[in-house]
Amino acid sequence: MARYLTNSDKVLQAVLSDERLMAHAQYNPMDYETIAEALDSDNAVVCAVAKIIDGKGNNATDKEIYNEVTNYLKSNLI
Amino acid sequence: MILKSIKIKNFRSYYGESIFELSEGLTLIIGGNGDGKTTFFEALEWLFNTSTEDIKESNISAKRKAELEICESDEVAVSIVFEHDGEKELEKSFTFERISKDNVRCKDFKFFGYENSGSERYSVKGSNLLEQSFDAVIRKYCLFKGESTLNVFDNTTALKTLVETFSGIKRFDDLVELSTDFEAKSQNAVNKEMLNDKKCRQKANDLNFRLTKVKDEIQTLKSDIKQQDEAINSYAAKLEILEHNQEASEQYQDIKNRIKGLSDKRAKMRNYTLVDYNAMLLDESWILRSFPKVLQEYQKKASALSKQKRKLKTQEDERRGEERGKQIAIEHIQKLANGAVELPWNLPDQETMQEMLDDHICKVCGREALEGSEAYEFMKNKLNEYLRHIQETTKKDEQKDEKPLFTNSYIDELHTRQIRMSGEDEQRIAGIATEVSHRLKFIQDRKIDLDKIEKELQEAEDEKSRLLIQSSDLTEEMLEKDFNDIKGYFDQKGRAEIRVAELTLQLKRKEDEKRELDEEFAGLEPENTSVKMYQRVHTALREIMKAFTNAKERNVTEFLTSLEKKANTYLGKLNENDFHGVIYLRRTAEGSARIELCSEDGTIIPNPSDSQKTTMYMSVLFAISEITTLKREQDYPLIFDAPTSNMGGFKENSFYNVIDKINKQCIIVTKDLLIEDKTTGESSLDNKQINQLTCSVYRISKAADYSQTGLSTIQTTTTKIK
Repeated sequence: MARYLTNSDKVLQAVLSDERLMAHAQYNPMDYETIAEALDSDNAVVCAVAKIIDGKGNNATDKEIYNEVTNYLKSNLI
Repeated sequence: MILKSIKIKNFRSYYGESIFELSEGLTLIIGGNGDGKTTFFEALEWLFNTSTEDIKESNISAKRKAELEICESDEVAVSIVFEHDGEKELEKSFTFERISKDNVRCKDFKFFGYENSGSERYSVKGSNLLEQSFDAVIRKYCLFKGESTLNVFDNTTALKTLVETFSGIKRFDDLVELSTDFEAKSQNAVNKEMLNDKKCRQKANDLNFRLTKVKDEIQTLKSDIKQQDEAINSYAAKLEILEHNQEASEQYQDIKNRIKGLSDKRAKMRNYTLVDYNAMLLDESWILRSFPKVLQEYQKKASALSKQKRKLKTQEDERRGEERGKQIAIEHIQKLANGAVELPWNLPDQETMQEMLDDHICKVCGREALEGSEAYEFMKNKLNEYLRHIQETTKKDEQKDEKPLFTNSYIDELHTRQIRMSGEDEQRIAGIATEVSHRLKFIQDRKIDLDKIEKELQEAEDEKSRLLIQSSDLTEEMLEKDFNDIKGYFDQKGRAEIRVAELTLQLKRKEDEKRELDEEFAGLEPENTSVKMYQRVHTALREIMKAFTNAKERNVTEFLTSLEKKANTYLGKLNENDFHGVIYLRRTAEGSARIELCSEDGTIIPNPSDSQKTTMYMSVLFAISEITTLKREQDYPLIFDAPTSNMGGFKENSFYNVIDKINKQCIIVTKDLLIEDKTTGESSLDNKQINQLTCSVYRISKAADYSQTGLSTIQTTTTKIK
């Protein structure tokens, strides 16, 4: 049965399918169909992308999203 | 959403209830001018308008309104039954009540939807049901009134709206903007941190300075390119209008030249007819224009008078001669018999004679003369003779003193004057009169010419006005543009295109330069670990930002490619067995797109015909509708009011044949497929053509017994043909 995808899921898939980003962050886009899956990812870039999309979808302020994403990246990027 | 039926009740010309049962494919609603086609379309627009509680009295059937007695009421209603996750109904209505002879009150606006759940039917708010089943954005791409509304890319936000609505991914723009903002913020954070790093400070400062400069240059170049693109689009639009209206422009130039020629001619004619008659009367002796006639009459009269005078004088002389002759004859006859000398006539005198008569005796001979005797009568005759003599003598004396018949010489003077005015003077004046006469005839002829020119000028002005009315999308200034302007626009467009190419090359170089600087910046190896960490975050955000931007662009490109492909499939179908070209959907500088009909090598087809344009726009609409069906897993009807009015008869027929076979619910209100009887002016259905179609067909027409002046007699009747 086909999985129902939200608008955020579709955006995530479109962004993660970018080859340059894939090369930069070393991930397989097939592993991440939904925002929830991406938010659980160990890949910091994949998770950062999901946080941006999710934050915007949840009506967080831009500042809140920026702080969350940069703090997350600071902590998780090697 | 599939429409199953439409009910219209007492809405303008639709008197009572009219029900249209619709097929899942094409339904044609055919009617002539004024038969209720647009009203049908506007009834649906009224139903789908959720912005106001519109209960305008003007929407009430005038016929129904006129029938109502005071306190009687009825309703205006439009409803649809449709399939959208089960059968649903949507109805909008209001009540109208006659409250006085001249007034009607509108009230009780209702907008309800009905849904079935199991065997139960329950009502919901109409606007909610409408938005759930047929939302405003979809409606925008489903209802089209006339050909001018068919171009869905008619504004700068059209592409964005289409992508947002139909690509399946929404709010991409917001996320691109957000990620770009994050990248810039993180870059600033890196710059700030880098200043604290002893090893890289100098290099970072230098790179930052160069980066700022390059960014500014890139910004300027982008702004210049945008300006040039806008100019190109503007010139292209102007050229399109000019080319499209080439015929109108040529016609306008022709009329304009005609008006100019006629105006010049009019000015010339006016100059010819402008004469100062007062001055000419004396300065140029025009006053003498009628003199030959006057002289002629004078000569005629003077001659007649002179002749009459001479005649009278001759007659008088004759009469006098006769009188004189008579006198001499009498004197000759009165001599005595023996030739003796007569006594003087006055002997005896009057008193003596009277005395003898009174005394009844002749005192010469002494004889008695009684009254009635011969002697008495003799004396009496003698007295009478005496008296007659005196009388005749007096008369003779009077005759001797007779005045001349003509005491004055006026007639002679007139005659003398007549003779004097003849000859050279008469000839000179006749010359003036002829010249004036010729001149006046010339002026009169020019006045006739002027009237003719004025009429022609008025006709040309009327023709110009008609042309401007017919070309409602053109102003007179636009029509003023001739081929020199077209050439000018081509040149300017060409120059702008060359400039864009140059600027794009410069932009590419600057972007390469920026990329190198970014990489150089990213390659800096600061001592400070904190700076290194900011650097890594920035690099990640930069890549994320690029991924968002690329994804958005891909989404738009994929949407346009898909739309273009599907549109071309429909274009082929709608133009079976005819040249149709290829539809290109080109991105514009403003971020929207433009529909272009091109040859297969990508060159634009100049001046596509109106029917080519209509099928081009309709193909894009069918493609949008198909994408909508795919994305939303729902079909939506396309409703057109008179979309083919610019097509020719043959083209219309093949258009309906093709559209009849397309698997898409389509309702077309049209006056096509009607045949007009030129003698009676009445229209009838083209049954031969209609029989070839498989679709549903309704005929709408005005009920026969209407008055040409009374709105309350108008009623649209609906007949299901098939």
